[in-house]
Amino acid sequence: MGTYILRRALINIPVIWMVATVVFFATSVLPGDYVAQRIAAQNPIPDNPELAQQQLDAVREDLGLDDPVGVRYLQYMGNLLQGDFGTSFETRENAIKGFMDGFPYTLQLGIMTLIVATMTAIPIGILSAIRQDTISDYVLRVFSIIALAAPNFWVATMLLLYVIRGIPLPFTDAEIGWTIDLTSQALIWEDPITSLKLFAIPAIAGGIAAGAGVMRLLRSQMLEVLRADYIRTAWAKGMRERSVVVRHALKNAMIPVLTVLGLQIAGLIGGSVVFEFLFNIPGVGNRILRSITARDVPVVQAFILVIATFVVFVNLAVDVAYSIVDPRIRFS
Amino acid sequence: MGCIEAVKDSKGGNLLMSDLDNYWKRKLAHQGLSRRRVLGGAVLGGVGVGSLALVGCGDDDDDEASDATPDTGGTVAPTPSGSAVKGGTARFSSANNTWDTFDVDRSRFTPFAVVMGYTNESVVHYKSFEKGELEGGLASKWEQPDASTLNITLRDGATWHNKPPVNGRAATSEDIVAFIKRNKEGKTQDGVDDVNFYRKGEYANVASVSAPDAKTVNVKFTKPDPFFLGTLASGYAKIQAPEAVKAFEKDYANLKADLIIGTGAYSLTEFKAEGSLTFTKHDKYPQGQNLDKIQYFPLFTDNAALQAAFEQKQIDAYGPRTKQVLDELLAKYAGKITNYPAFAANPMAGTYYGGTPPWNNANLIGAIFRTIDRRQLIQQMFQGLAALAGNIPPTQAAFGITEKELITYPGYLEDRAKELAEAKQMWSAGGGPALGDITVDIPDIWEGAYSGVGALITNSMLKANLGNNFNVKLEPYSTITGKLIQQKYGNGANNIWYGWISDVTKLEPSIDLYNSYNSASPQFQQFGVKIQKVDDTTSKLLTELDLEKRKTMTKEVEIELIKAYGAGIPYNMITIGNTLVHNYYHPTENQPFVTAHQFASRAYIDPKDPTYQGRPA
Repeated sequence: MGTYILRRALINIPVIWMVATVVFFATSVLPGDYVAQRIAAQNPIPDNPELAQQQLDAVREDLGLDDPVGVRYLQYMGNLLQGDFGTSFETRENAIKGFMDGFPYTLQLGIMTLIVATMTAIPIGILSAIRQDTISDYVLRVFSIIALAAPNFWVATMLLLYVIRGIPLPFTDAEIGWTIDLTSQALIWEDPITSLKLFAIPAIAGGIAAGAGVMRLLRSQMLEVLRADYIRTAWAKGMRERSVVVRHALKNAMIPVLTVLGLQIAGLIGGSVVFEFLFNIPGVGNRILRSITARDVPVVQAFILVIATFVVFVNLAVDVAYSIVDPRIRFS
Repeated sequence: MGCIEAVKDSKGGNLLMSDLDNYWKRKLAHQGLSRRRVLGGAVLGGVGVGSLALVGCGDDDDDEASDATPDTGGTVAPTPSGSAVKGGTARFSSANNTWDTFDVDRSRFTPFAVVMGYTNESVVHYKSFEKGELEGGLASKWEQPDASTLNITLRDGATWHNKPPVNGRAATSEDIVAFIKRNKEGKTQDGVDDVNFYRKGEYANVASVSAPDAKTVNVKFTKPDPFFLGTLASGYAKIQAPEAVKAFEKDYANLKADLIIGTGAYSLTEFKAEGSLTFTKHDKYPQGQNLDKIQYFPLFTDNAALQAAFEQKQIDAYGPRTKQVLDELLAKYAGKITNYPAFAANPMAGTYYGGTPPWNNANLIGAIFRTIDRRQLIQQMFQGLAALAGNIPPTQAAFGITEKELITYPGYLEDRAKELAEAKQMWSAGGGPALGDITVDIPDIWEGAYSGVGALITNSMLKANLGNNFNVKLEPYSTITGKLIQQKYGNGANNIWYGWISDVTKLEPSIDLYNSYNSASPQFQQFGVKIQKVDDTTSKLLTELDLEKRKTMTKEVEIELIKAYGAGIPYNMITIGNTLVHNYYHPTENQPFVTAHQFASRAYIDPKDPTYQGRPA
């Protein structure tokens, strides 16, 4: 196992290098560099064209954008080897600082989303499987399809507009609403109540959508496992339903579900761009979107590199977890 | 603050800006989209008040010609009065701002000019931008004993913020001298010319500046300069302490709150580039200020969240993007919120190079100019919340022709059938059909804001009437600027562009008219449309001290430019932005790049107002 982990970790290094290279060149060919995007747009008709061009050139030189792309790539790689992710064009801070600032928000939203997803998916998946073809099964399956089909940006916007702004009660002037502080952006350890109020709605909206896919997978896995001989044996032995389902069937049905949950955990770090954007949560997803729009290339490169690194190592962790969950799996 | 003493030039003309013609008052409906908010430009989100709604004077003759929708409510204008309440923290959302440097002399980004308006003072500033009234900032008074001399007297009690290395000392006249000299020379401390002193040209006319004593500044000009007071009142003309400049000159790009040290009413105590700013009152500001703090929250990335925050009174002002939202909020909160419309900073126009074919042919460029249906664009893009603009947009209404006169010129006629028919004839007469395909560059961010309008212009307007293929090409602004500089919009190429043009940052257009349209100006090379009368008049403008005469001259210039189909810059419209504020909040004028200083004297929060209830602490 140790050898396997070491080997996979070493393989991940060239993977990360390839990601860094692809990201570098992909961001280098984006139309309009930072100078173009921000500075020229401020003053499209310059008073003095020659001076304007000098100014643009000076800024490009200051930001290192005037070097050939090959030179910049080598500088970028050399800096990376020393742990230097570069300097943000916009904030003049270390390019990774924005990630460090945004990660707690993304982590909190991700964990809450994951909790909602598992708390909805597992009970619903189990219930739907053991009550196959009953009314409750049909209701739960319809619910999961709706949750899968509804675009999460639409769900979030509806929640924002109607829950937070208030749903007017008919024949009265009253409204039902959910007041959340959209300006404080508190984390749970800073102000638990305010934070939970802000994060609850995107976590519920995102968790239900994410859980719907897991629910359907779990249901199909449970149906397959419940038809296995050993489960029939367990029934025949007179074991209680709860014992059969939870201790025997669920454990085996969860293996592929773990893969999906593991991928969702890997996706956590990238943040939910939609929900962070809509609810003004300054997480990783929101920040990377802003950086892409602003052509703040060092920040985009730094973020993607960190996310890619996290994803490859989480995948390794999921593979290792497989062997723990399923003793039949051994790595060599 | 000291009163303005009689300021006359040697000919008895008034050097103060006089009242603006505000015939736009009845034109202003609601809604609008601030280009700054979209682009990430100047406005720090919902800050001020629609100035143009406030002024009582106007030209009543314009009503018949109005196409704009009328006010639908709640446009009571606040007036600063003795009822201002001390205390409280005003809260706003930041826009998607960009910061270049914290050295105001070398900055060109209006968000930073707004920040400096809170923290640093100008020599003079606008008591009322809408009326064009100046008052002393750091100056208590100023006078011109002759046309080439300006004497400034520093007001009493001006003190720098208590931040190192200035440490709260009293301001002196030497601070103003250092500011003027630095901008005139345009060099860093090591003596190197720095192209980033963008406004060096505005100080070129200063022959010498000196401080005979701690309270007096003497400025001598090489020739009479009617515009220097306007320069001193501009958004970037903020005085910095010389020792701070010396200490921080190499560090200003690092964007830290400690680098901003001023004598203004507020000190910047927190700054994060993503939009968190906190301004705390300067205890030694002699005139005192109403608000204790002004807070900006980071950008609300989604407008629905911003709207929700406004409705829950988490922020005190909000600019709706659509008329529908504006109307809905005004109806929902009737009597509880007030709308302050104001013109956006950036007019919509295009540019072309008219020095050579094809666009030196008046028939061709005139046909395009006349075919674009400005009124349809106003309705379709902004639901009526924009105004027609000639070469002097309504933002500078005192110096431009009235709308009633504007709509008598081709391109602005109300008779669209006539406009289109004559445009078609012009196109044929100019050989337009033989031109083939014509490319219309549209800025990518403009298309992003107004999706589909590029196709509306090219297909439904230009192609439908003139017959040629007009093809939209999305380009970033840097490409457009580059092509402008290289005269590629024309000059043998069947290419024009359309979008936002540079923002209006001055009350008076005279200098900009010279820069853009006088054939001796470097900027003229981008447009190349020489009109002798424009050359003559704009040259005279630069030395005309009489304000009323300058107004007459600028109107004459505008007429010539419109007759020449824009003379390189065919203007179309300017949008109207709306700022909704809860009634407990009494705001400043809505020209933040020059009126942010009004937060000290005008803005206040009234906790006794019924709408204050429910505002989060």
